[in-house]
Amino acid sequence: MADTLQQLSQLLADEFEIEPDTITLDAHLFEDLDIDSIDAIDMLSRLRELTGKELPADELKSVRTVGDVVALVEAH
Amino acid sequence: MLVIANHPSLIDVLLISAALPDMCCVLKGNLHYNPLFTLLIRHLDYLPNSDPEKMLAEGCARLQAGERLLIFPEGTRSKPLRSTHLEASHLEVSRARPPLAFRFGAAELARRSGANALPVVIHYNDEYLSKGYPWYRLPPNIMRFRLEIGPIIELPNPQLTQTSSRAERKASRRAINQRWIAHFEERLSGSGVGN
Repeated sequence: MADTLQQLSQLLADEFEIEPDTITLDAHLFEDLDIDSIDAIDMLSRLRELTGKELPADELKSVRTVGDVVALVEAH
Repeated sequence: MLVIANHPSLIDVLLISAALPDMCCVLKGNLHYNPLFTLLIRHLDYLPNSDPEKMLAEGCARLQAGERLLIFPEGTRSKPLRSTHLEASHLEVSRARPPLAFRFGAAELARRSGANALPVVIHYNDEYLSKGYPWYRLPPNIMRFRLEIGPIIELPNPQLTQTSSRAERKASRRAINQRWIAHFEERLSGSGVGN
């Protein structure tokens, strides 16, 4: 859990230019972090590369917060 | 060439295909599994939107190969007209049209492929076949459609299509959507279906 969050935070900070302080489990991707739907697809594909996990794109539909992304990665 | 249209009814693909033949269409993914449509859609080689990465990659390849690709940037049917009635008489006084909400998939296709867009503005007088209206309930009025095709809308910042910075790509998608929405809002607020 903590590892996944750290990995995701690093990715968002380094590649999506998001202030590390704003990345919390409750942060809303679209409203708080200014990630649009195309960025989200991009983020998922980077997470696949980083974790080596199969992460189906259609599961993004129910993702709203950073915590949801962590849960998605953990579930695979 | 990317063909973009608003999406007021269930038969918009038919109307646009009649006007612009030889077109590929991005369709709602689950229609590919609808027993009524599955063979037809496979035969037409239409593109499902169920896997966004695949849709973007294949759509981009088709556009760069010179195909005509239709996509509804709203990603679903337009929000239907809202009628307001005078309370005592039930006379219809106005039909308010909710503002268009374009998602980013179509704009991203344009940005990646560098394709300009051919707008098809669908003017429609009714709510029959619109989102939320039961298709089996008869249309209350005679249905009238008018298609307003073109002029071509060029990319606002063609030089930004090849950029690598995420922030610039996002800004580019937004600028494309804004330009498209301005065109549709202007035309739709105009004359209606005509005669």
